[in-house]
Order: sequence, then C-alpha cells, then structure tokens
Amino acid sequence: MKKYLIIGNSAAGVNAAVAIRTNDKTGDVKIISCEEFNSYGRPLISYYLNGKVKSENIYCHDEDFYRSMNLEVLLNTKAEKVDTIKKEVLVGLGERISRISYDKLLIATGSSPFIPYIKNLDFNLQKNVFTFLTYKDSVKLKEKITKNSRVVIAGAGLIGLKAAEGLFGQVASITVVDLDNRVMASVLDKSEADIIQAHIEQKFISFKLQTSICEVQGENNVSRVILSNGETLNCDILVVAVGVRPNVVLAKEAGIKTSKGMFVDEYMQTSVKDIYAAGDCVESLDLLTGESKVFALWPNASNQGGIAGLNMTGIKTRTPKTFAMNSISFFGLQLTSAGIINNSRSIDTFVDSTKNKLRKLNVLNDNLIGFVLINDNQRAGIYTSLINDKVGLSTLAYDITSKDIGFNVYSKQERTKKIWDYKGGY
Amino acid sequence: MSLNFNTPDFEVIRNENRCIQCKVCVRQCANTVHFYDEEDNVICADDTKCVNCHRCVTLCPTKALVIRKYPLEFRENSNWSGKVIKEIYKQSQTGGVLLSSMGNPEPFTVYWDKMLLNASQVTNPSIDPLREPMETKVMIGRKPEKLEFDSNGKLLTKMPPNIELKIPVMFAAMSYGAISRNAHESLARAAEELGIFYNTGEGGLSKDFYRYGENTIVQVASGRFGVHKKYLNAGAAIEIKIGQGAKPGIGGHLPGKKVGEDISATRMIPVGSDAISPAPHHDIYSIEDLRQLIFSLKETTDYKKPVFVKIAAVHNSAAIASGVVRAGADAVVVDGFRGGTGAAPTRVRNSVGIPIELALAAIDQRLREEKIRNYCSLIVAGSIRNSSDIVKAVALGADAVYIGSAAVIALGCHMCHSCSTGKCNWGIATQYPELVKRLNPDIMYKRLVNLISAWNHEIQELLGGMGINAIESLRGNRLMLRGVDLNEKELEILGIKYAGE
Amino acid sequence: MGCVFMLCKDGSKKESMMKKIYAFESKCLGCGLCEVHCRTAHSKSKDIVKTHKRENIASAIVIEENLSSNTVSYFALQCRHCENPKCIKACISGAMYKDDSGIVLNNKEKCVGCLSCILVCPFGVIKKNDDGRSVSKCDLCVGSCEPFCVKNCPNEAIKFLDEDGARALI
Repeated sequence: MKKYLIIGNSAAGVNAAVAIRTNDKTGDVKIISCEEFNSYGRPLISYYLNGKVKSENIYCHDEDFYRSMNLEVLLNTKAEKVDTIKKEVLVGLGERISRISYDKLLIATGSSPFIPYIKNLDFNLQKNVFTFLTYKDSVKLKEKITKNSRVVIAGAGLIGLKAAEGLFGQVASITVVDLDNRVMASVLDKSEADIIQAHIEQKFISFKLQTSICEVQGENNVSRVILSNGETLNCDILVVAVGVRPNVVLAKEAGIKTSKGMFVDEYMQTSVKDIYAAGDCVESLDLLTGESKVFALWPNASNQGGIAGLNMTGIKTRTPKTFAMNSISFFGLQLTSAGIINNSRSIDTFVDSTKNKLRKLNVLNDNLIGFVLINDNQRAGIYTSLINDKVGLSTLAYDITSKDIGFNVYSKQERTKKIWDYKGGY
Repeated sequence: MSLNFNTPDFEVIRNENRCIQCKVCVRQCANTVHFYDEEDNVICADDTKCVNCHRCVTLCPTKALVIRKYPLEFRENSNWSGKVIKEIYKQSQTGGVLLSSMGNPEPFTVYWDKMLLNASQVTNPSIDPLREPMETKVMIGRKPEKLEFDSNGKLLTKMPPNIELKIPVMFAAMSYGAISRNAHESLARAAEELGIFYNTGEGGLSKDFYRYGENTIVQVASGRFGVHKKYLNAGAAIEIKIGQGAKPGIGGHLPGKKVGEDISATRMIPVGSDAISPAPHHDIYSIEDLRQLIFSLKETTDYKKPVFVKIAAVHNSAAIASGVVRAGADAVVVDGFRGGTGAAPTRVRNSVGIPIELALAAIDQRLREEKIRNYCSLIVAGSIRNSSDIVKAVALGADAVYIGSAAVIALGCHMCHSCSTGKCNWGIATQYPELVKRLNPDIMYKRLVNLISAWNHEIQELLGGMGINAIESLRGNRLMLRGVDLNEKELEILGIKYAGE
Repeated sequence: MGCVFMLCKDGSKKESMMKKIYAFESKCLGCGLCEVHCRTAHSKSKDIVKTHKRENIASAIVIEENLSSNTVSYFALQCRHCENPKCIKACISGAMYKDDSGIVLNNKEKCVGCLSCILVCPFGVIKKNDDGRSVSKCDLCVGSCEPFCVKNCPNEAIKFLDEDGARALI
C-alpha cells in the first residue's frame, strides 16, 4: 500500500488527493494543513466578508467528501521539515512534533502575504492591521469592523480591491493606496485600469495612487497612516494587500531547487525524486513567453494538483504549459483577462470600447496572445482556447478583431470535431 | 415610381401582452415582415410584405400572432371588387403579366361537393373493413381484351406492363426545381413506404433519388429537361406531359435563380439559366406524332414500363383522350382546372380549362362508348382534397388519382399562393438552402404516410358502407352517386341521377 | 491523455455512455425556440410569457449564425458535459460539479458569479445571468425525460442521444 502525503489542503492539494484516489483505491492518502478550516474557496473570502457567501458555503467539499474518498486530513498541522532521505515529514501539531512517512510527497504550500517595510508597523502588537489571504483573515477582519471604521487598504491589486469590495457598505470609508499609477497594475494597462477605477470610485471608495504608506502611528492600534507624498490618513483598520510570495522555505531547507517558486519538471516532480509540488508555490513555464514564473491562480493550482496526483500514482501525465488568466468582478463590473495583455510595439492591439464595455485583443504573428474584456465576456472561453491551442487566426472563419466572437469562428469541420470529440482537459 | 397604389393584403396582429421579443418570427420570415426595433425593444411588422403563410403564427411560442385580411375596404361594388382594382394597380405599375401559384381559387362549383355516395341498407349488407378483407389495390396500365390459357390452365396471353398501387393515390408531378430537394425526398420516401408512386415532374431525377426508382414515375415534358435513357429506365413508369390543369396551353417556367448546382446537373442546363418549357412538344403536332413519342419511349425501355400521357382538362378532353388511348398510351392522366402549380399567369390559371369532375365523366363515357376503356387506365388530378373525392372519382370512372396540393399541404404548405417568389417559408417551393432545411424529410415523409394511410382507412369505410369489398369493383359504378343542387345538363354530363331518383 | 477522472462521490471512474444533446447543423433553422424553451424550463413560473417578462434567465443553449460565402446557416450549441471539464477546475466556489451520471451542474446556492468558468469553457456555452450572481448552463433538464430544447425543436435538429446513437445519424 502506497503512502501519499500532501502538504496543503487547498486547490492543488485536494485535486491531487482526488486524482490519487481515483487511480489508487487502496493507498493511504494524508493531507496536512496548517489552517484550522477544511479546504475552502480561497477567492471566496471577500464574498464571506460582505455576506454574499455564508460560512457553510465557503467550503469546497462537505465532510462526507473526505470520508467517502477515504482521505485523512490533519488540520492545524504545520509541516516543519522534510527529511528526503528517510522520506519523512516532521509535523507540528500544537506542541507535539511527530513524523509522517511517505512514498510520494506533494508540496502544495501556496503563498503568503508579502509585508513591505512600513515604519512602526507590527502585526503582533497592533490589533487593527490585517492581511487578506485566508478565511481566518476574513473572519477576524469581519469581527473587527464597525459602521464607523475608516479603512485604509495598502495595495490596489486584485486582493486589495476585492477586500475593498468585501468591506463596502459595512464601514465609514475606504481608501486604497498603491505605489503604481493605476489599479491592478500587474494585470491591466492604464486605459483599462481607469475604467475599473472609475467604476469603483462611484461607490465612494477613494484611491491614492503613485504613493505608498511609509509609516503608521499608534501603538496597540494603528490610528493614522502617513503616505510617502506627505499626506496623512486617519485609520481605524489597515489591510495590507500588496502581493504574495510563494511559501518555499520548507522546500528550500529540504534541498529542493527553488527560485521564486519551486522548480518542477513536466510531470510536476521537483528536483528531489518522489517529491512533487503544485499550485502557487511552484514556477511553471508560460505558454506565451516561455518564461518560468509563478502563476498564483486558482484554476492553475487545481490543474497542477490533479496532474501531480496522477503522476504520483504512476500515471505519467504531462503538464501543459499555462498562461495568466483572471476573471473577477467588482461591484457588478466584470473583468476577464488572459495571456499577455500589455501593449508593446511588437504586438498588435485591437481595442473596441463603448460605454462601460471594453474588448482588447493582443495579436502576435497570427496568434491571439492575450485579451482583456470588461463587461463583455459571455464567450471569453473561446478566446482563451484560441490562445491555449495557438490557433492561427488566418485559419478562422472571420477576423476576430472585427466582430463579436462565437463558436462559428471555427470552420464547420473544426467545429464538428470539437463538439464531438472534445473531452476537456487541463 | 414615387406613387405606389398597392396596399397590404394582410395585417399582422401582435398581442403585446404575449410577445416576449424572442424574435423567432423575425428569424423565420423569409419575406422580412417582422423586424426588431432595438431602441424600443419591440417587434414590428411590415404588413405590405406579408403573404399569410402562417410560419410565424405556427412557430410563435406564445401564440401572440394573428394574421388577418387587411381591413382596408373599397367602396362596395360587385363588379369592380377590391381584388380586380388591386390587380389593375399592380399591372399599371409593373407592366407585367400577373403571376399566381397553386390552383384556381375562384368560386366555381366544386362538383365533388354536389355528389353524394350511396350506402347499403337491409337487402345488400354493408361490409365492416375492420373484420373483413377490403382491397384498395389497383393495377395501372393497359389490360388485355381477353385472357387465353392452355389446357393446363397456364396463362398464354402476354400481359402488358402494369404497375401496382397499394392505394389508388399517387403524388402528382412536381419538379425538382419547383419544389425543394427535401420535399422530393419526403414524397419519394412516403411513396416507397406506402407502396405507391411519386412523380418526378419535368425537372429530371437527381442521381441521389434513383434508389426510389421502383416508386417513381419519370416525366417527359416539352422542355425534355434531364431526359436520357438512364432516366427513362430509372422509374416504374413514364409520363408524357402534354398539358397541366393549372395552365393548359403553356409550358413550365423555372426562373434561373432557382437553378443551382444540383438542379443544373439534374436538368442538364447551365447554372442560373431559366428553364422554359415550350408550350407544345415541338415534335408533336398530331396524334400520330404522339404515338411516335410513346413508342420511342417504350422502345427505349424495352416495353417493360407503362407510358402515361397527361393532358389538361379542356373543352374537348373526351375526344383528345380517345386519341391518346389510340396512340398507345397505357394510362391517360387528366388534370382539372383547379390543379396546382408553382407559377402560372393568373389569367390562365383562373380562366382556362374545365372542372375535372366533368372531364372525367365525359372521358370515361366516351372511352366506354368507343369500347377502348380497357386499353388504358384513367388517372385524374386537379384538386383531389380528401378520401371521399377519391371514392367519387373512382365511381365516376377513374382508376386512381394524383394528389399535388394535398400532398404539399401535408408537408406544411399553408396555401399562401406565393410559390413563384421562391421564398417558401415552409421549405417546399424554394431552393434557398436555409429555407429548404425547414422541411425535414425525416418528419415530413411520415406526415405523408399518415395522410394517405388515414385516407385509405376512410376509403375502406366508404366502400364497406356501399357493400363493396374492392375498389376496382366500384370503378365506373355511377349508380353509387347521386347529385344535389345540379341542373339537368350537369347530371347528364356526370351521368348520375338526382338524389331521390 | 488516456486517463480522466471526475468528482464522483464514490471516486469511481464513469465510462458508461451518457446521453447528451446533439444539435444537427444540417437541420437547425436558427429559429431560437430552443432558447425560449430552455429559459422557460429553468424558470420558476414555467410559463413562457411570465418567464420572459418577469424572470431574467439566460438560455443555456446558444444559437449561432454561420456565415458562409453564399448562405446563412445556424447551429445550436450547449454544454458538452466534458469528461474532464475545465469549468470545474476553474470554479472558485465549488459550485460547478459533476453528478454521478456525468452531468456537469452548477449549484446556484454556491455560485458567486466570478465567471472563471466562462473564462475557460472552450465552447463559450456558460452564460452569466443578469443578476450577476450566478451562471446558467445546460443541465440536460435533469429530472425530465427529455431536455426541453429537444422536445420543442420544430425541425428535430436537436436530439438527446448517447454518442453511438448520435454518430449513427451522421
């Protein structure tokens, strides 16, 4: 009986467990998680904050799922060390330390919030500063806010803005601070970012851009933040959401080859035999640029987990190359993007925008390499698959930059083939 | 022309409480009557284009639509009716010949409705077709004058070729071109399943339909479209078309825009060229010429297939039919003035030819008098509407009937009389692929089978009621008919007694 | 990839031939009645007029126009219920799942309308509902013996068949 151990109980971990159990009915599958909750939809924490998702609905699976799949889950359990020689993982369960041996190990430790240096900021001391990455963060934040809270959010990226949306309507004011000149700078160009920003500003959420928090004041509670441009903001709640970093300390210490994230081969195996890794803590090859980078994305983690699981049971499965993809809504405005979305000289960019709607397509050498859609995403998946399958645009039935896309973009033959034969995949 | 006198014939009434703006009507109307006004989120209609084909009404999921006669009235005038006036407006605007489709709609007497059938009471019991055998099979073709047998009882007489109909109904000639490929396929498949025949019409036979050959009658008309040896041998019988009830005296006309790749190949004419059949056959100017054509067709098919000759019902049909039989035809087809068409000049359609009932009675009578009735079968066409029309036709002397209009109505025709526009919303009289698609042969052939099977049941009931157990026993039995509301002359021509006599 | 799995509760692999909706392009008229009946089937009122006047439901079947050089034709498209669905992988809320019979379903209670599924569906057949909180997708009208689009297609262009049955028709 094979022993499988999975560190991490989120998208990658659980999908790996399912894949393992599907192909190995008898193996021992253990999942350890340092969190106190069972696997939950991490992107749902902002929906929990504003009450759109109730606590009972945040979990990906019910108890019955783990039981019926015969998966053993150890919560509140932190993996301290991986002994690659003895094939054991040292885990801390509160005060107790124990060892769990494995035949195949999956490291799916995800990422942690990045905390920039801010003078006087101390998470251990100050009771009104938060990060926003886990369900626990969201629970704590929800308990703390009042109708009178003046909230400052550091970071106008995806997490910062979702936090702002989650808090909207429950607090007195929300101010979002970001060093960049636009919101979601890593995902959007200025023109698209402006649409998002203007939409959010309608909700009386204010932005302080091209500046950063350099200092906070207050001992047990932050009462004021000082910006690098000299402005001062009163603050009852501070949320730091400037980005995430892969959790790779455990892997590094075990001698696994790591850069920003862990390196894995095309079968999701790390540089150490029998140790696999998946999700936000690994680097993957970008289909479009060929670069190795971390894709901190839920679908990516699910896919990689699933593939890692298959490989761990001995079913050799290659990981397809991936690319950035985001679908997110802010106050009813839908933003969908994928691939390379920045403008550059070598890329042809086609923008089609009307009031509140935008479609931007980036084309390079007869291939679609990226798109941004705002409030116009009903058929977004067709664009995504054009990128994914590297479809030559000249082979399509019409020029996709000139009209709305549909499945009719494929020739009848191609269309029929897809409808009859497509099975899905990673 | 800036001033247009034309006013709509129909009005589209939309119940706004039920309209859900689903746009099914917009998408389905090939005449672009319905359109969506995005600004006001309403569906509107351009009444002037409506032909009242009911496609939108039938498909509207909420039954929000009604089409009515356009309520605009002219001052009452029995002579100058609105219809007459509007025809003048149209012609004075276009300078063209008025074109119409389907059969003569004018209020001439329908003699079928003036004749009543008999039923047995007491002395000669009626027959229950559900309990006793009842034959509706007929054989079409020349019958020998007498049968000779050898001493062992073996038949010595050489039997002329006959075709067997399980039910005395056939689908009338409608060419591939006039009607769509899918309509043809439906007719062919239904004929095959029913054990009857469909007729290619004058447009030849698409190679894909040769497989239905055993149930096909191939037609040879004045245009000779698609006629070649293989074609003549492909069917079970050959029909020479001299005339057509809807337009006696003139030939068919298929506009070039209906002549696509497949029709071009089938008709053996260039794509896009008009297919105009001459009014006469240019090789027939006498009965002797007809005889030559009949026998050259028989020669080509090795005397194995009966040859029919189809004529329109006109003033001296009886004499013409006699000549046709003497020329060697194995069956005479007579098409009455109410027979349908894809396109005919309105004046011809509405004012040329005679009622089929009278023509049939006259021809049958004449052939009997001349003692040549058994030389041929007599098939009638031209608005056979139901099973009692068939039974009455047989009692008047017909062997079988052809149905055209009734068949296309089963296929979805709503008698909008707009075949000639080529934009049939039901996929019947059109060649536009997106419209042809609307007629799914898988569905529609079954409707034809249903219709004819239902009629067959009814025929059996009517026969049984008269105490007759085979339709061939009814043929020419005019004692089974009585007239009502007819004058002496009409009764004389029909050869029937008045009711009560 | 030879092996696929689905989130069956018993963890078993399903290989049985499941019935799906097949739309035959050669027969599709593009009338849009399937869309109307799809919306109605998934409405509260189950009444066509009320559904369209009062409820805002996206149809889970899409009619597309197909422009070729000389004619316009149409085809209907809906969820293919992939063996290994990308939408389930992408779903952040666990709302998208595969039931024991292989049907990919969306649990509206759990769906938050993030549209990640729309982003990855290669057929583009998941639709956002106007409430912005959920998506509509084909559920094969589970519970009724035949999907409503199939039942109401005026030209029998949409059929509910297993793969062998469908292949036999082309």
